[in-house]
Amino acid sequence: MKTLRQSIFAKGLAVLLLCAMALLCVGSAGGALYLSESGAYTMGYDAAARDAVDGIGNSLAREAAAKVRFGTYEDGSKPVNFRCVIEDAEGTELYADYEGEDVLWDRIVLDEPTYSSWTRERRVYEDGTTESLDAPEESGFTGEEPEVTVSPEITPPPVPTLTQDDYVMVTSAPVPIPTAKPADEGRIVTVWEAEDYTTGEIREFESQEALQQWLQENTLRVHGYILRDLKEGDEIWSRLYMFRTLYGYRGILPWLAVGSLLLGILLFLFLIAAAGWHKGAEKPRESFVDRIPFDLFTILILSAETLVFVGIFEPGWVFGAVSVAAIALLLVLGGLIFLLWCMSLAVRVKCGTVWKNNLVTHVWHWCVKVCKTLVHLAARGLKALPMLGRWAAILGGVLLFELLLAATGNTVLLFLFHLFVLCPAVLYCIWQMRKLRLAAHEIASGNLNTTVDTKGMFLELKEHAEDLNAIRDGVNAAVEERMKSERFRTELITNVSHDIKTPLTSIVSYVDLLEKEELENETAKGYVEVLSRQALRLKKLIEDLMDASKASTGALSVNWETLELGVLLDQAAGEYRERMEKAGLELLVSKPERPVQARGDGRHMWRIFDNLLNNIVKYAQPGTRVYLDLAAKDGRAEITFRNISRSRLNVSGEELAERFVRGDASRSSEGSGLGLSIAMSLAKLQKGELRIAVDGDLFKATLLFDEAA
Amino acid sequence: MAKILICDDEKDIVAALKIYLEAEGYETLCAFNGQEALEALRSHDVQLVLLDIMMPVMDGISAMARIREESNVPVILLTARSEDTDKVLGLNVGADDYITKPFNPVEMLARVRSQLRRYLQLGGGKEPESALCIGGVALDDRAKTVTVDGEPVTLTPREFEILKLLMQHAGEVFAPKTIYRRVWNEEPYGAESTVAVHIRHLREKIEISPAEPRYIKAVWGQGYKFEG
Repeated sequence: MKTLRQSIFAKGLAVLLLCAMALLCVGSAGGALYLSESGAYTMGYDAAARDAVDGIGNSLAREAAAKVRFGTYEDGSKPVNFRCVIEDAEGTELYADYEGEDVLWDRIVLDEPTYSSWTRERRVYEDGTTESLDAPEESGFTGEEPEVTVSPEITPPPVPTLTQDDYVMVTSAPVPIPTAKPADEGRIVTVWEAEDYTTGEIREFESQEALQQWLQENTLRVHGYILRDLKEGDEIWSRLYMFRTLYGYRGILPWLAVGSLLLGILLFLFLIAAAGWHKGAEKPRESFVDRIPFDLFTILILSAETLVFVGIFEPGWVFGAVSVAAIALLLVLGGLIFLLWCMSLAVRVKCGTVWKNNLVTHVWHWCVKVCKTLVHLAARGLKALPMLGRWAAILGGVLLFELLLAATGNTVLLFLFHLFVLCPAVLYCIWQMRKLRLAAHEIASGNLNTTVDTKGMFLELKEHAEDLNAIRDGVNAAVEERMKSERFRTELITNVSHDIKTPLTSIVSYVDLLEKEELENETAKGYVEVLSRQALRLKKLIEDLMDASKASTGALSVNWETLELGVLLDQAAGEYRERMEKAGLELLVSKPERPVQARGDGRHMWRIFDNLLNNIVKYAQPGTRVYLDLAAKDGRAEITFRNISRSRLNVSGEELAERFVRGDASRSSEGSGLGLSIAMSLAKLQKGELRIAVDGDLFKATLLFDEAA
Repeated sequence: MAKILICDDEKDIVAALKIYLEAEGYETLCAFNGQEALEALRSHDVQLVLLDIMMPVMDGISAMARIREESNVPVILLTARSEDTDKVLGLNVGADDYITKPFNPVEMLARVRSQLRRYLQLGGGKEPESALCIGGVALDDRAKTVTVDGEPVTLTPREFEILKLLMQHAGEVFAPKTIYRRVWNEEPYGAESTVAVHIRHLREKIEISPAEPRYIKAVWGQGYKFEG
């Protein structure tokens, strides 16, 4: 198939075969139709043949009648196979050459004279003179049936009216006696005139009926015969010869038509499939013809087809072999032109150039290109300007345009411009601004997943949006980095703590065992005691370090519940009352009558209290009072811890809370110094706040939480 | 005397534990990973297991699960991790108690003693019928006595009443105010922290480690409850 469709020879052969098939199809289909119309398929040969020669028989009969009227029907010009008997209206035989031969066809034809008739208006005066009123007007040629012609509307001609001066003239001078026209104006009659073409004489009739009668009187009765035994030499013979030949093929003609049609379609499809393929080519390729712009090509093809069809239909073809051959050739030519168009279309479809390679498309593309270049140039020019200048230029342009509209009085256009161009443009800008504004707000409030959609944005707005996205990306990266390092640190601290705990367990255990050994050396006993104390301190330090790192990175989970702060205060006070008393401190608790509730995790909350109260026990000046107050105002629950520091506090509240930063004086005592930091982180974890304030020796810690409804 | 299996990959810790436990008169067996512990359990009659969690070959949690398939010997987990999830996981696979490293020897011995007493007395069933028994705590309302793992504990009448109230409604949370009303039979009028002080005393008498109570738990911001 591939080699076949690449072969020029195969394609040429296919074209030739296609032409042949087309002709065969048209010919056989036409023949079959002709036969079927004569009734060859239903009535048998005789009847069909009679039908086939009926037309020519009729016309020959008329011809004979006409010639008899002229008296020119001689033996020489007579058709060989035609006989006739012609009588006039009275039945007198005018001509007869039928001598009782065996006939195929016979028919009686009535032949009226050929004439042309019209009407004429005529004024008839009393004296019998007549005057023609209008030029004879041919009412049209009629053949056998004269048409009734309607006389046109008649307006009488203006009668000259005599003025007084005329009468004066009559009296004063001898008046010439009018030659014609007595007082009466006559009457108007309509006459029918008919020109007999046979004789050329014009006859006049008083009425249409008279005309009709004349026609009847002059009608000839022709009895025409066509002989059964035909001789060569006239039209009847050739007509019937063709009919007989066709009749012989009547069985296969329809099949021939269908077969050639099918084969033709197959050939056509092959040609369409093979179009564009060339020897040695991997893909279909366009030839010179296929590169002509498609619309132009189609117009050319249509023009050529029009010429061909004009050739087929216009000239008066005479029935004959030459005409048939010429028409067939023209038909083939038309078909070939159509085939060329179809094949070219197929090639274009295969190469995908149907829509691309069009004159209209080329022109359109060119226009678009020019417009784009212009817009690009303008945009570049505008871009080169600074922002303010650019917008000034744009606004200036708009104002100039409006001025132009206003100056030319196009107020409606001005309004429409505002309505459909300016307002939408401004609204569009505002809409974009809103998008930017919302995105900026989202980013500012910490939602770093916001992305400004820059689609449809332009110029400064787009740049601004891109900058916002870049800022977000930067912040995101920074936060990510920080989170990562925080997580890493927490993990590191957790793992190191675990690893430290194992040797620490041994140390604690063996120091304890050492203490239980009965040491005689007092100094050694003292040393062991130090070891024991420091080992325990190390243990506490590690645990605090882990807690602090977990709390500050939010690695702790919060089990949210509603807490009664008053109860918590009582519980904490109960836990610490005795230790405070032992440390010489007086604990004073105050809380409002009504219950104060807050949302939080009881364990974390207790840890905060525990840390703060533990610090107080450790660092408060003995003999002073410790105040633990709960208050609720403006929807905030506030718990304050107040005490007098034992040693001088020379650092601020913030510094106290920072990890490992403590007042110098307390650095030497036990504890990790992480208590405040853990408490702060835990408060933050529960969406609360811990504030530390130092006022002289007064240490004040304030816990703030939202009061639960 | 009871036989205790000590299992830890740190030899020094095993040695220290051995010294403590043998000083108390217990017999000891040593293993250095979960696999060895399982083998030792099969070949010896062991009354208690001290099991470290982080060990090579077979870790404590898997060993724990395997032990529970075979016996219900009490197991105390030793862990360097103090995260709650680890404790919950250990108790869920069937451990009876846990001790966090670095441990206090006194506390460790107390827990061992407590578990052994409960395990060995389990079949005895000498508790009087009037007694209220939850976990290792038994409270006899008629005799007004309280025992923890069989050891008698001396309580003041108020402490006894508070314990009775909490044990009768084990698992239920009581606000300090309610406890005061029910025990003192009068309105608290600002004396609620007295309840907290009594609870603290109660814990010191009953709990092995009052800072990490096993029975009398504080539900911070709400009240107290007794947990079995």
